[in-house]
Amino acid sequence: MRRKVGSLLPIERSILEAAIYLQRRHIYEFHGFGMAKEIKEQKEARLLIGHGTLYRALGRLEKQGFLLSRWEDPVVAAEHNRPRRKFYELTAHGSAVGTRLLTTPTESMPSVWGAWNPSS
Amino acid sequence: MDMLEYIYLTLLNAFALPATRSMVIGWSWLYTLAAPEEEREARRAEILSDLHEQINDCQEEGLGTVAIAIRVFLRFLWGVPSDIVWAVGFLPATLAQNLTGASEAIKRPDTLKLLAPWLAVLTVLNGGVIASDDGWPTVLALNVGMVVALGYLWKQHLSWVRRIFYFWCGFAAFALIGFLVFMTIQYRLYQMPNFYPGLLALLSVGLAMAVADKSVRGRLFKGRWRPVVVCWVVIATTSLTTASLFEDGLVILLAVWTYAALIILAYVMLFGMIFIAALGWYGGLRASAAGMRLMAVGIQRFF
Repeated sequence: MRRKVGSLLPIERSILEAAIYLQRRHIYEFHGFGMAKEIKEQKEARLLIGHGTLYRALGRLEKQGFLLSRWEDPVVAAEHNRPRRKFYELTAHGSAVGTRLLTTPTESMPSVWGAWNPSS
Repeated sequence: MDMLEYIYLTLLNAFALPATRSMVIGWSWLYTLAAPEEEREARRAEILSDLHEQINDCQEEGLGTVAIAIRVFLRFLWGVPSDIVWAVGFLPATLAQNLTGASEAIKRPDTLKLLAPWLAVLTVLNGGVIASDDGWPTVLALNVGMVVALGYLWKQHLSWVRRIFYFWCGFAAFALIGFLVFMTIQYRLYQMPNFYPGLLALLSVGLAMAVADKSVRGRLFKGRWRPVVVCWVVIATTSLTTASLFEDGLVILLAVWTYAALIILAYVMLFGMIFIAALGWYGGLRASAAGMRLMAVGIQRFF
């Protein structure tokens, strides 16, 4: 799908909206699988988003400045006997856009850049 | 429950989840090869973490190993197209230029005339190598050969050719679905004497149909023919190699994979009919989606 400049793909919109819902529950950081579960619950879907679709969208949102990421401390991961998680959190701009998306119908979605464009 | 069923269920429960997990990790290793080291390692680590989280989450829900394997497999499957698009973005610029130049050369009419018959011949050979005594995989391979040849004729913009092309695509698609449904319901899949070669023929034929159908419509790799030929060569080579592996006796591992794949297919056919379209796409049936609609028209006009 070719995107228009300043627009978000549906999956990206879903991620930002789900991140806002998590913020409202005081969950400020999430990992990929946690986001997939949140989106599945929000959309009442039968299946989780595929790995490729999800992580590609997360990568794009991070490049566009909506998300920040960090890797979990390896010591913490080792204590829990699991692979390291990569956590994402909304930036200030991502939070503002996500909040606006929740109140805006899909058909009349405004430009998500607003007064801020990372390429300028 | 007889001994064969017992062994089959035991192997399935023992190997389904580890095999699926290995497949996901193996795929993440493969498609990230083109990426720079930092992005490659980050993506692989993220997939590994996600896989661990999903399996843990399903185990906490109380799901069995086969059910977990199905969920992991389906999630992996839905993401494959995005994985490929992500990986293609890292192809070197020179490779992209070479592909573009080669596709321009292959698009010339005289090149296309040479390409189509070779595809048909390779398809028939592929089917012939894995054919069994009863000959029906060869029939399917010949079917694919006809599809490919008709695909070439379709490029000549003859309306009756296009009608036949879609009719054959739709007929083959229905035959595939009907065969799998019948054998699953009859629960006789593993009793077929030529089960493995037959399954391999069906899978390779389905993939060959998808490649042929999309290539003649210019929708595969955006009309760049060289990757299409490479794709088909990989399909044929894999089919030949796997066929020889069967004969060399690596039955246990491949049998488990086959049983797992068929059980997954049975589950989605019984509990989620809508997934047939998605699985059919990956098995090559999406190429015949329009053919299914046109087949109804074709039946009215031909019969």
